Amino acid sequence: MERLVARGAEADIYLGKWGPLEAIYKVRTPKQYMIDELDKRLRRHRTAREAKMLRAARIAVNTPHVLYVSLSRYIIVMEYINGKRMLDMIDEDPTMGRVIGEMLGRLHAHDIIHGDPNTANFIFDYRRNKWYLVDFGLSFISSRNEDKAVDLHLVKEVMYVQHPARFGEIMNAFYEGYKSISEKNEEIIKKIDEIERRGRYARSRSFLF
Amino acid sequence: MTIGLGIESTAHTFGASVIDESGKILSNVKSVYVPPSGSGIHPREASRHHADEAPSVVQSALKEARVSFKDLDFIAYSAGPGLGPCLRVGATISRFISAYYNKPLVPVHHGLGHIELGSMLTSARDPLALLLSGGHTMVLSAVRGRWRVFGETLDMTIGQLIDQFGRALGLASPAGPAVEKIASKGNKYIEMPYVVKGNDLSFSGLLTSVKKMLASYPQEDIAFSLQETAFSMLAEVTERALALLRKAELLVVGGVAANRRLHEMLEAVCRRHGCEFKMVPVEYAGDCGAQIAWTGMLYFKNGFFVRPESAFVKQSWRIDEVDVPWRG
Repeated sequence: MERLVARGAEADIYLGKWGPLEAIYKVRTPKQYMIDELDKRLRRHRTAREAKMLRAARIAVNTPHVLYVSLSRYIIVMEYINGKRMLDMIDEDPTMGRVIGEMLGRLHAHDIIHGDPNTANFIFDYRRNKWYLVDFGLSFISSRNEDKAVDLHLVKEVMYVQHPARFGEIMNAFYEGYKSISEKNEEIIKKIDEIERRGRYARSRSFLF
Repeated sequence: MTIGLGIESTAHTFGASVIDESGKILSNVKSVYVPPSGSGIHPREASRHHADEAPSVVQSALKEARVSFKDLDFIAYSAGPGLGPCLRVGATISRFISAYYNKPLVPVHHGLGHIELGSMLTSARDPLALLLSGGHTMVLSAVRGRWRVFGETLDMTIGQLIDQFGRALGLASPAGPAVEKIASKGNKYIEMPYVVKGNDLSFSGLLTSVKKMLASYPQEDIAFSLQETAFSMLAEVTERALALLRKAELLVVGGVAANRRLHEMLEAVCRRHGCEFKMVPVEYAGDCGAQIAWTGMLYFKNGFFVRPESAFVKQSWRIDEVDVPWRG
């Protein structure tokens, strides 16, 4: 029998069995607040996209194996990664920011944008001694530096709120990790500024009157 | 008992309010500049309106509160972000009162004003704040003395989206209530761009597409679909933040917070995550003097104020650059 282990914004996560294997059932449940057409369109689209991208991303990083997909029921069954989330560890060890940088760097080298790089989505499997990346529901393929830089901007935003005490250290490690993957990545990091300047009230203009 | 005067003049509203330290709003008077139908706010025209209205608005606020200038402990003003000419009207008057009566002057960030007034009126303690107005579309959480932005629009705000759509229909800004009314007559959903990037959102593609649709669909259905799409995006990023940050309260503030459909959606989000829904009372949702007066009170109580000669305005000013010592 499946057991509810987490309720995210997007989906309910159950732990159950798939044959002899322990498996995660990710079920995109209806959002009561959205009208039906929009809700179904988004759930279908994201289920399909996540299944596709979980597979595609394996070329760059470790992701759970996809075992089963149902677009009509909005379910993905995937391999269970038995590990600990970075969310619960990084405040003790901010150098883990490097792992985020390296993993995003490798994804970006293959033109894969994660779209939701928060620390709950990085899981360390002690048995296999490997980092896994999960939750590809907002992920997509793009070779544009702009899209890659938005991914980095999201990291910054999330760290600032989730881990304010170690923000600086985490980000330094993150940039180092990201730069270590490709020489071109320096350019993408510079683009973060450009995106942030486009944000509301980003250019501070102040005067005495 | 400490009492203070707050003056708001960032955009179309000139407002003045007297408040005491218990949070009792003794008066909240405003006068709103209304641009001609089909056009947006003109900064110069709005500032003229403010300059004309300012003396009577301020005097009514004092009269209603039964106080005189001499009774005030401080003068707070909206120092930004906003339209330069409008900001200067409020700031100039505040500086004058401050200098003439020798009262401390407190510059206040307008967006922070929305959040802190909403927080006080709904007795929120440590909420996830959703700031929705013409100038802001942000999801925020207070951490260590700052309101930190968890997610925000990457281009235009929800208020601008609705106002610019309204303008295309020939409505005057702010067009929110009129668009809401038109949308309530629509029921056919038209597919539109839905752009959520992680915790951030983008509305500019949505605006372009609805403008194009005006030629081929009934405006009721477009307005309906626009609200459904844009509000669903807002609800989704809010839900993401609630799921991740596990806040016990959601506080919704800003002019757009008055929309009933949005209300309904966010309430449903809260139910799903076992979170308390706190919405600023509608009469205080839009720009008003009370938001500045109350936030000024918080600063004044924490010893933050300036000399009149160092008063400033900032047309562009990010909320996450502002110190909020009471949220340390």
